Amino acid sequence: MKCTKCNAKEATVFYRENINGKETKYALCGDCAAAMEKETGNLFADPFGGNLLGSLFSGIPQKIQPRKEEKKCSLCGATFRQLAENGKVGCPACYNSFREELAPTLKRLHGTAVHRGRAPEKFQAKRSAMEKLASLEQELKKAIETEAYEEAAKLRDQIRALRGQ
Amino acid sequence: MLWYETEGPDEDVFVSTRVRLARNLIDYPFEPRLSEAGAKEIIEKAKSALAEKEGYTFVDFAKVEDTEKQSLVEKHLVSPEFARKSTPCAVIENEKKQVYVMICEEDHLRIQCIRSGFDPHGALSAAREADAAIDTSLQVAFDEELGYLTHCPTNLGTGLRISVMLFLPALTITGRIKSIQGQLSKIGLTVRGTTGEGSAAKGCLYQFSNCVTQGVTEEEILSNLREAAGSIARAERETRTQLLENNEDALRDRVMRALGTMRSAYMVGTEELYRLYADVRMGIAMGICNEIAYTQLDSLLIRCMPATVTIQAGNVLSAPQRDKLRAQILRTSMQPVKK
Ligand SMILES: [Zn+2]
Ligand SMILES: [Zn+2]
Repeated sequence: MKCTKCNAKEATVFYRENINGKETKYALCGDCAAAMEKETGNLFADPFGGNLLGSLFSGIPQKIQPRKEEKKCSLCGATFRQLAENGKVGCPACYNSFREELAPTLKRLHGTAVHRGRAPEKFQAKRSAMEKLASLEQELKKAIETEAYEEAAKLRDQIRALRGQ
Repeated sequence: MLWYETEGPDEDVFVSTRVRLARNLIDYPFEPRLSEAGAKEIIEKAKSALAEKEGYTFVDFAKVEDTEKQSLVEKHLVSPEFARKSTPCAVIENEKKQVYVMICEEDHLRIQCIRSGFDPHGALSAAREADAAIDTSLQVAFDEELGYLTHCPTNLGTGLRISVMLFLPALTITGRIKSIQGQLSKIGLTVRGTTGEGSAAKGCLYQFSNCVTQGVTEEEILSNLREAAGSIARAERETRTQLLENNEDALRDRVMRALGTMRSAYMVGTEELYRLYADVRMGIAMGICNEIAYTQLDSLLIRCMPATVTIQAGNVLSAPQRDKLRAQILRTSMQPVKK
């Protein structure tokens, strides 16, 4: 389904507004939803106030027929529609299956923040290897600039070994 | 020893500090998609990762009686939602370290540590020990961008929630608590009365916790919380001094009346208990009744909660019978120490 505002991008945010009994339905793409949120300031309820679960994901217009081929999570089989209805994901793999669809909600909850805290050991090892690699490359660049070719060769070997892991 | 039986840092303002890490296993869905067999597998896996470690004990929650479960809620060791569950769930506890791992709560694993007073660092270190053991033997759901993956997207990232229970009688009496609540929400922290939103806080007890879990390190969450906790404590202590300067006689009267009721009443309901608790605790903080310790009063409050009272009686009690037993516990525990 296309976004009802720009009619170009795929709609990922569904929203139902009820003003004095008159119901208006929106199906918006991430960009238009963000723009509208900025404009009205309250497109969705405050996720930390009141009904957390119901308002966490945007509500979904009930009368819209489900598309025939709705994407399903590879592990638990949930659709994004079901996620939105529950305000919670079906399984850990849902975050990967619906990465794009969840992005506006996660952005609203956490900003554009990327995880910086602790990680399981194997990720921690990968993370420190990446950091080591970056610093070696920096040193290599400096070695080449100062024409320390012997040093550069050593660094290159170290980088190759680290990449090969 | 349970948390409320031990002394903690800055007990005049802080009753307890609870740290919670949300962890999940890859390959298993969340409820309601989690099958009974799946839940049992998760329980077995958690057991193999933790229960064999020294100091950890496994408790099958299906075999725990409802009153006992309710008492664990009153002691803040498990969540109310967890106690209500009818599907397979379990707890692995380390009473010495004050760590309680709830298995098959909202998340597959919730590692909790609760400590007396203000001790987020101690509580987090103890929770991390269990976290490390889980990490080495189980496949924990993690995403490099999003962090630890959780059932509810609000917990993503560190999966860390720190809740501090504060005792704020002076800020409550003067109404200053309102403006403090507003200031804290601006820096990503929430404060609410322990009995839920809106209603006045029972026993002048407030729960205070971090909202932000993603994009920050555990250390940043901790220092943010520490800073805010420090300024609330300062405000509370200053207000206490002001109150005492301006209304000493009235305050003394209020505290001593509460103490008198605790020492001689024949029936005490839970509502009244919270009021008496707050007045006497304030009396300790203001130096009005020095012979009573915070630990004594805090453990008394928990021992007098409905389910915990019932367990002490050993049989089902009617509400008036409970009030009578509660008063009896208060009378015997609050007698002045003979010199
Ligand atoms: Zn659009
Ligand atoms: Zn899924």
